[in-house]
Amino acid sequence: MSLLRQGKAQLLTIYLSESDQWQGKNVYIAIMQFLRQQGCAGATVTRAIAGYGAGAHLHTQKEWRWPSDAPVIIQVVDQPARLRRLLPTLQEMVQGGLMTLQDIEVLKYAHARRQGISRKLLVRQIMETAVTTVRRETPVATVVELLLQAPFRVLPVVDEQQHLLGILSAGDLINAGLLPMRRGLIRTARDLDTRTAETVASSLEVAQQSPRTAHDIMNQQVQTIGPDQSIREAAQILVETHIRNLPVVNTEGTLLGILTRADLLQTIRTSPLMSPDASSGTQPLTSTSPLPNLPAQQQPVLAYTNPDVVTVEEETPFSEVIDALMTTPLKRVIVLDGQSRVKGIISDVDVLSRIQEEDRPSVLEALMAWARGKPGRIPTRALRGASGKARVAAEVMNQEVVTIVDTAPVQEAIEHMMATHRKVLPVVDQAGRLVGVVGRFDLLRLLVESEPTL
Amino acid sequence: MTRKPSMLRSGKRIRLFFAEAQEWQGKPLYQVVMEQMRQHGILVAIIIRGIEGFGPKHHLSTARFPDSADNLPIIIEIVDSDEQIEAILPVLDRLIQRGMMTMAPVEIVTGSQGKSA
Repeated sequence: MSLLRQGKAQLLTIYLSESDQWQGKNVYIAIMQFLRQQGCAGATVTRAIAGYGAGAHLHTQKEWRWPSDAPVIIQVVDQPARLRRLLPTLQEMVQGGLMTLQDIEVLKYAHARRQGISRKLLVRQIMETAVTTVRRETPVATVVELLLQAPFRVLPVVDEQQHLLGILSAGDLINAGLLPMRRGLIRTARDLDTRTAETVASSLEVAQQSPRTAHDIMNQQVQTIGPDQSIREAAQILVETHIRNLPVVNTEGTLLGILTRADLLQTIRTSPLMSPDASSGTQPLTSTSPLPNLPAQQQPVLAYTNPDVVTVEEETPFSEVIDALMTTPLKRVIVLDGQSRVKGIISDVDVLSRIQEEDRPSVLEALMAWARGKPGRIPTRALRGASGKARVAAEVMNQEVVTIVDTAPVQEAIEHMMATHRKVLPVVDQAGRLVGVVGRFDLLRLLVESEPTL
Repeated sequence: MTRKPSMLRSGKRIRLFFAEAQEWQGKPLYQVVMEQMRQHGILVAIIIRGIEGFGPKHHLSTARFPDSADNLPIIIEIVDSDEQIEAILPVLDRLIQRGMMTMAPVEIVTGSQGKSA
């Protein structure tokens, strides 16, 4: 996720001398170019009127070799992760200068896209460049371990020159029988309790003992995108292919980064401080023209809602919940009360973390069987709660469900989704009754569809 | 408005980043911000003009080329107590339609002759 967000950020301040050079250029100019290329949200240079301690010349110099030898200050506000990534290069460029990092809060970050979404942003401006890669000969055991830790669910396979050879996804590994179930579930299960963690560990033994390498299982038909294509083109590909990660590759075939669905949705977010009516502040108030068509991001979320959703009731038996969960492509079921109002949501992770410790290994086995395409049987004991009564949906549901009203602007759905790290939001009507769900995939369409003509 | 003098008090520094050519109802935005800050009795508000900068749209403005030098970056720094800053945030939110606004905690120490924070 590369665009700056509201909230915690860091301020990087670079102190230089205006005359400092880097590869035949003024270093501050070189740094500004570097920051722009790296897709930083913004940077500002100011010039001090005097000073010392910044840059190579200032403490020792007697002669003034450059028209101005004043200290210059570059200020960059960005996410800590990105700044950390840029620091090694900056350190080299800054030479005798100095940098400081300070935690700050971004209260507002608004650019001129009130009328629409900046679909013209380039892939290179928002792609993630800190990507974990593997080589062709990397053993499967390492691949699995890396994939479980990596920020993305794919691992690009590259050669020594960083040329992209193929891609490995968690799905490929599951299909090859090397990963027992989806990544998120494994990660949760590992942290729950010792016995559950052991069950996961033993299921990963297949991969650990496999003689195969990345090359054997990688997918060589990789859909890629160029760094200078627009995010709209990227969104188009993601919508058509249903994939979530696009490797970014230049014309020589070198891997430059990865563009994720989350990166794209991030571009549609704007300041939560910016109220909808504030946007007319700088426009002439005498305008008599009727309201223009709503920009896409203010369309009601209903337009992007998918009505196809599996629901259960609070009293639905646990075994039926599991069956429903395993057969829905959404991987989530929504729990409703008698009036169709949303009470909770259940995912495989919710099931596993909400049942008793001693029942987890057997439920996990059943989930793994499902992942292999063989419906697993859950032992009768696990179907009952601690009280001995049959377990029901209400006991395993996550009550902290984030819903959105169907009339809310679609932008709000994206804000909620990104802020709460949810991938799917149940959509409800004014009375709280379920209308459908909206997922990250559905919202990507926003970037693809054309703007209403004004 | 009278405020109790004290040596050290906790406050905030707000930094606004925007462009010199931005206007608010026909007036330069930086001028309007400064007027508003004075009206609200804010302790410190200073304008700094940058010599170069870029924003999210990646248009570079720089003093190095005369034709792009009429829209240089502006930074306004505002320092005051927590309560005062809180009170002006809605004003700033309304004024800054494009740009960035950051906040960081500071401790304010006023000079012996200075007005109290």
